[in-house]
Amino acid sequence: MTRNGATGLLVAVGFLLACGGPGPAGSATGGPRRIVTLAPNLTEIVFALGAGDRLVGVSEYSDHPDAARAIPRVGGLEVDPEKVAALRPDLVLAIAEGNAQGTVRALEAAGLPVTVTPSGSLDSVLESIRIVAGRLGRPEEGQRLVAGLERRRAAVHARVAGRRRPRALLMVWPDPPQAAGGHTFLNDILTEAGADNLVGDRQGWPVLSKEYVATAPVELLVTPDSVEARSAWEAAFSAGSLSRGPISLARRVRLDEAALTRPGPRVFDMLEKLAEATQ
Amino acid sequence: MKALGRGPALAAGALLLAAVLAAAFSVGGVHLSLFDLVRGDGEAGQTARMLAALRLPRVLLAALVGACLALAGAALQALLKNPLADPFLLGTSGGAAVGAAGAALLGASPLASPAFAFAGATAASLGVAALARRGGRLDLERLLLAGLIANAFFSALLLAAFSLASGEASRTMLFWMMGSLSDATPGKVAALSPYVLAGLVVLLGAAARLNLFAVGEESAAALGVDTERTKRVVFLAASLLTGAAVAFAGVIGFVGLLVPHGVRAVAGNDQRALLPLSALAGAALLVAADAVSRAALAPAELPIGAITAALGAPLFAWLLLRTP
Repeated sequence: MTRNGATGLLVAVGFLLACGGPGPAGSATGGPRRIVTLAPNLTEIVFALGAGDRLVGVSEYSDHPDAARAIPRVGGLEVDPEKVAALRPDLVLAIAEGNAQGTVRALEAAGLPVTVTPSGSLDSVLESIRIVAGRLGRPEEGQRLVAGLERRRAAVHARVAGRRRPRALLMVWPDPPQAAGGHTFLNDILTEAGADNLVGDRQGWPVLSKEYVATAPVELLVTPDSVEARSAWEAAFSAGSLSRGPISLARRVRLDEAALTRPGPRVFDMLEKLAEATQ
Repeated sequence: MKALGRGPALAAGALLLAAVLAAAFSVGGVHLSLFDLVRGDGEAGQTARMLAALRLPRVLLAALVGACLALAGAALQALLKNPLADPFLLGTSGGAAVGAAGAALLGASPLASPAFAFAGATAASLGVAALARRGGRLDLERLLLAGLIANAFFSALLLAAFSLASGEASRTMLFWMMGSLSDATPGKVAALSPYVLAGLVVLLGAAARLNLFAVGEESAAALGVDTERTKRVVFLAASLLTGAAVAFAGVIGFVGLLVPHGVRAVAGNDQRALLPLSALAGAALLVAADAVSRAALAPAELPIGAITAALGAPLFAWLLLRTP
């Protein structure tokens, strides 16, 4: 191809991009109409706010509710910015912890409106719902949803108040053993459900030594349950890091992995289930 | 030998290793009471014995892996007469890690990964040697350059494998890239021991010839040393030791570079002393580094490679600056 030919092609593409197709507008009817979510919890929040039909792209693991499964995928932890841009979204929702900063910046640089939601606590789950509701132009739905979740949360607090708090670990992976530490929403779930997190003074997601796991005075062990990880957990219980010491005798509570580990509305279901188990 | 004779130096090295082993066994994120271990009954004794069963294989594995890496480094430095030579710089570790990681990615049994690591280490060594061969002889400068290229290539392969792997497999990739001793078992210790012994015996057998290399290859040849054969034997022994270490502990850097330097500074450049002393000192270094890795961030662990790098890199920079 000659240089002139190449230039001509670029101009033509630019023209098509500028004029072609229905533009990313549509705000006249109140809020964005073409939404892309970069994490499954954001997909769940959008559906919970009754705006699932406005999603044009979702992250790889967005499988809840069932209607989310049919929406085009834009990548897992590593999002493909070009795929996102090709969907011509008028709102991109990303999470602060988990989505690569580079991806978010690339999307912003391409002129896409990106909203990043906070993570790291149960409060930030509620805050994320408020933020998303605001961006969707549905603040009242957001307030209603948050108020309902807050009521359930307060009921759990009242229920566990004054109870003896079991010493607990919430493990996210068996080998190497990794647990939820402080400043995570799972730490909030564990402690608000009436248990004491043995590694609550560690920030983030500490990978624990086998010696610690074998000797920690665990009374309650919370583990995420999923088909994919079941064999890894069973191996750890039968011969691995969870097969010896107090942890092997601790009461074990299995909670659905997707519902537990995605900071969306369903984590409040998990909070209630866990509060039952700490009794 | 400078201050000490070879015998006393080796005895001192063995004593140092024994002291470090004992100290490391009693150090950790969780307190292990020796009294409970020996005399304790009931729960305290049970806990102590369980801890010992976890910690002892780990301390021993650290010793064996450290000995492997330091021996391989010492042998390569003597062979290449270059203080920068190291299983990492020559791409041997990278080849071993790619072999093991590839096997994991293809779904091979974890039991088979040592075999793949040896294959990778040997293939890397042979490939690097082939690149460095000129007129039927190994050209030492080309060897270092070829190792550099191979290493860059293996790093890229590992990163590609890491991004291809998902879930559990990517954790395995991390193990190969970062190195770890946390999966130590008595079985692994038993499996690694023969390699350390074999490597040590072969290299000690070549020590006298390696001393002549220091004078110059031509002089060594004139004195009746089959230089090409010696190179091959030492090269393969170093690959075997590196492959064994990587297979059981992933890639742990700087030990092969660091230890022979330290030993040479204290004990001189006689390979008959340097090689066995490097094995002892390498074992002691990695056992100590592992104790720090277990205790520093308890109940979490600090990656062992970060500790060896934190020790190795500044010391190495200092050595480099001191060299005229």
